[in-house]
Amino acid sequence: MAQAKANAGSGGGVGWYVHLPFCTTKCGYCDFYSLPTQEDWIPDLVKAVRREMEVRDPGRAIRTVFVGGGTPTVLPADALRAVLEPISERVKKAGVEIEFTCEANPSTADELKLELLREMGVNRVSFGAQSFDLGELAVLQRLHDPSHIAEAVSLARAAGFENVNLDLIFGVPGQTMKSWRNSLRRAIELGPDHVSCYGLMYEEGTALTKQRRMGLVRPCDEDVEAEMFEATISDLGAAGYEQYEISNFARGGRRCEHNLIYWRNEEYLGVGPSAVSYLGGVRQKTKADVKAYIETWAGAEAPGTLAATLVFESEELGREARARETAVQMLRLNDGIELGRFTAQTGYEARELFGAAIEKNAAAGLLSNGGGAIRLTRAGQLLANRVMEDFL
Amino acid sequence: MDISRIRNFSIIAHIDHGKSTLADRLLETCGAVEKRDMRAQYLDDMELEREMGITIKANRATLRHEYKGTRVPAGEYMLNLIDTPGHVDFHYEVSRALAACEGVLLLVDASQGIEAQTLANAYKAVEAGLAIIPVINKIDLPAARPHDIAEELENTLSLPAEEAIFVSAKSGMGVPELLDAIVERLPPPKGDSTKPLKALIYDAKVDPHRGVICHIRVFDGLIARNDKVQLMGVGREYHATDVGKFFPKITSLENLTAGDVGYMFAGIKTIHDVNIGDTVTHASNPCDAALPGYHPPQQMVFCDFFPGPGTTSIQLREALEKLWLNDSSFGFEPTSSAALGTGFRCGFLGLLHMKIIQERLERESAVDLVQTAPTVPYELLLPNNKVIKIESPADMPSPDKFLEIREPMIRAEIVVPARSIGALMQLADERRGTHKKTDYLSTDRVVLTYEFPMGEVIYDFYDRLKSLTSGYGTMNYELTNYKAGDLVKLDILVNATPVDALSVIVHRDKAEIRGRRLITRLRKEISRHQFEIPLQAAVGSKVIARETIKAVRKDVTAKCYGGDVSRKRKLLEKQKEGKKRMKQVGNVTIPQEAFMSVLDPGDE
Repeated sequence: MAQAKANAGSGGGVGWYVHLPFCTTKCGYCDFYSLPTQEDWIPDLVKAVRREMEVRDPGRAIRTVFVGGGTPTVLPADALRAVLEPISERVKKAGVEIEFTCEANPSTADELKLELLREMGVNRVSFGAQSFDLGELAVLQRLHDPSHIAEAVSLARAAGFENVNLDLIFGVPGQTMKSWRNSLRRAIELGPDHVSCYGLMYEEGTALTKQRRMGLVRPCDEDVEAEMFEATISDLGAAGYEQYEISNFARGGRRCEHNLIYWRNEEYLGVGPSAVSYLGGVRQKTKADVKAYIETWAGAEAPGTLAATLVFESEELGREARARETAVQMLRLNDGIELGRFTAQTGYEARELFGAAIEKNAAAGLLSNGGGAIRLTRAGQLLANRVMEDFL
Repeated sequence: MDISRIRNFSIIAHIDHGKSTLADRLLETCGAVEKRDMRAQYLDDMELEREMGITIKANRATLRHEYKGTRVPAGEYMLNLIDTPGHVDFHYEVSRALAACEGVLLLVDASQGIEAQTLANAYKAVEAGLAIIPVINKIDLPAARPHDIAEELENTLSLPAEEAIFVSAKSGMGVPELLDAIVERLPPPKGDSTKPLKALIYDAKVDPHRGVICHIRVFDGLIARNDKVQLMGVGREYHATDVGKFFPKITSLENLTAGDVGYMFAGIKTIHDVNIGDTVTHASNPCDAALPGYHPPQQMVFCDFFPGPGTTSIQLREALEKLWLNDSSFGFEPTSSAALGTGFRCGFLGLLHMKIIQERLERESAVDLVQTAPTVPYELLLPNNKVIKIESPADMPSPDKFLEIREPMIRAEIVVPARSIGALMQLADERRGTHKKTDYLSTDRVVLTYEFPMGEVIYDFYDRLKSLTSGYGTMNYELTNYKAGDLVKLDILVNATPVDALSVIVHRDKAEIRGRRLITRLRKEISRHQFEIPLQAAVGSKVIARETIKAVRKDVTAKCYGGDVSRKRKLLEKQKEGKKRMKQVGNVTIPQEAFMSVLDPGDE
């Protein structure tokens, strides 16, 4: 049975990701594909997304849905409805309760939109809270202020969301241990079901990276960031949030099923400009180009399959490389590389393939190797990239 | 041609004062090159020379000038232009080129005036007993002050101001007058074609098809095709397969006679079989004595080249060999470093020569180089009274193994604006300079003569001079002798392991500051490891400076890449690949840049 699954590719279900690139403004650190809302393009974008879903639906069970961007909730209600409807119908038709997430900004999630999401079957909402410090929000170039976050969470609860996530960012220029722990505390007070805590990255081409180069912002000290990461695990842990991935914490078993698909290197369909799909061992990323996307999918002669001109990158790894990549992804999880799962999925014995890497990193105290899994230790999580290099 | 109708001369000038342009104009005016065939600056034929604005290898042309004046007999004269290398590193080559001449054109920019190199070259010409024609160039520029400059020449070099010839090499203005002056004022060569052959090799180059071409000046006797000749300095015999002149194209002739300047092919395979300054004579009927002043090339700056990322030591060797075939003064031999593996110790005439070789290697052979800090050769007096030379700090034995260490000294002439004297003196003081004298060129420009240990000026001195003087300062230097000094070897230890490629020889008084600077720079280059890394600078067993690179606390990408798993993987692969290209010293990985950073003088 294990072997059958390893070779599957068309067997079980897939996760669905929908990328809606519009945002009110671009945040200083963001390197996802997003651009200011183009009112005129919305009808065509909606038409294109619907067309792409229709054409590219692999016809397999939908395991999870995640609608992200950009900010999906900047779309007007009717447009948002039109995008979500086709998924909603499929999910209802299957008749199985699945995780259905939509991202939202604390300042753009009003009651109507939240109710619309509920109506469409969305059962998890993820807010980009990022910080409860006004100064840090300004550095990050976020449009909301801390009070919006509490408001957004209570609106979501009122609309019936039982699964709410807050994203937070540490390592922000000017951030102190005190202000970070304060943000954690205020997030905990709002009682979310899930918290994602990301370390700020200076990505090429972002406003923040430019400011850093010009000496306008000073990055957080590496040692302080390490302490912030440790405080995150202990503070959230004390509040009942279990760390299940390097940056992700859940209460009451509400792990993000959709992201787990990524971390286990399982299959997903990505719809929308710049979205990534991983189907049948092929990972494909489409171009970050709304115009080209619209022209292709909403054009007079919309294609019957993913148009080659829209493909930005396509990659099909060999069997071993795929196994290695899978291991690296799984190491992010606190469950680690579960030996049985790994073998079933890749056809390799993890302890054989990674013997030297395991030995070296276990000796350095970065890995634990017992209980049927290979896991990063706490020290190993802080140095995860170094451990992962050895698995590649 | 009658020897009285020959004139042999060089143009000597400071960089940028227009030597190549003047040479071009002389060729064109004499009809040696048609105007339409004229490539800008005909005589500088290497791409790199053009880019660096300097002439690296001496070049040549024989010009015919129809003299219509009356001071000497009218008629056709043969003018042999012997181009000299234009940089401070090539003193010896310059001196040999001058030895082939009877006179020089001392070319000075009409707005810049006399520079350090002008002086140094003029002194050489005077020492060599050559006639000097002062030539003031660029007189058509708005800032030109030709009469002031002529005064400067008279005051400084006792060249009568009224003898100066004003030209614009660019427009050709004054060039016909200059040609007449060459005929009138420069003496014809002396020599006797009936005596045994005595010719000077003043330059040599490689012709890709015919082997080495020697540029020669015949002093006595006659050299003809098929003569059996002997190179007296290296003591080897060859058959002269072809002789002739440059018009400026290579033109075969039956023979060259006393006073002539031309070329000789003699089936010489590599440039290293010939030494500039050597004397050519007939094997069967040699001249009584070789020409004076000959010595083999003297390498004064050394550094090691190691293959950088993407280059193997075999590729590096091939690249070095290729260059070596074209450059008689460059040398290399295999060496090895515990830190950097197999590489090559290379010797150069000076620092500019080193930079040229390094750039040519990278450009012409596309090799990646890791270069160690340049060093000068040191002499060690051993207890048995023998003197040995060391060319790398790594070769320096412990102090109990020698009685004395001596460093090469130079005499430097530095021309600066008078307002920069203070700053320059301070710099010279930092570099252990000894002031010899100060001469005023004019009220606002001075020549300072200093003695320096060469090791103190080999890398950033010139840059510092330039920045102190807003670009106006110029310097020329010449090796004088070796002098005993209180010199020590400064070792750098990374995680308690000495890194041989980072060692330097310094004066004891400067060891601490140099060591501190070195490890501060290293601290920035070496990334944090999973353990603490002590960095130490030590003289013998005494640690004189230390720093610590803290252990890494965090190396994790706590970011959601969503479905873009490939991107995350590629970032890790890149990081891993980067580490592979670093050098492993003990259990510390040191990036190539760290070795290079030693070269960067940084802030004092």
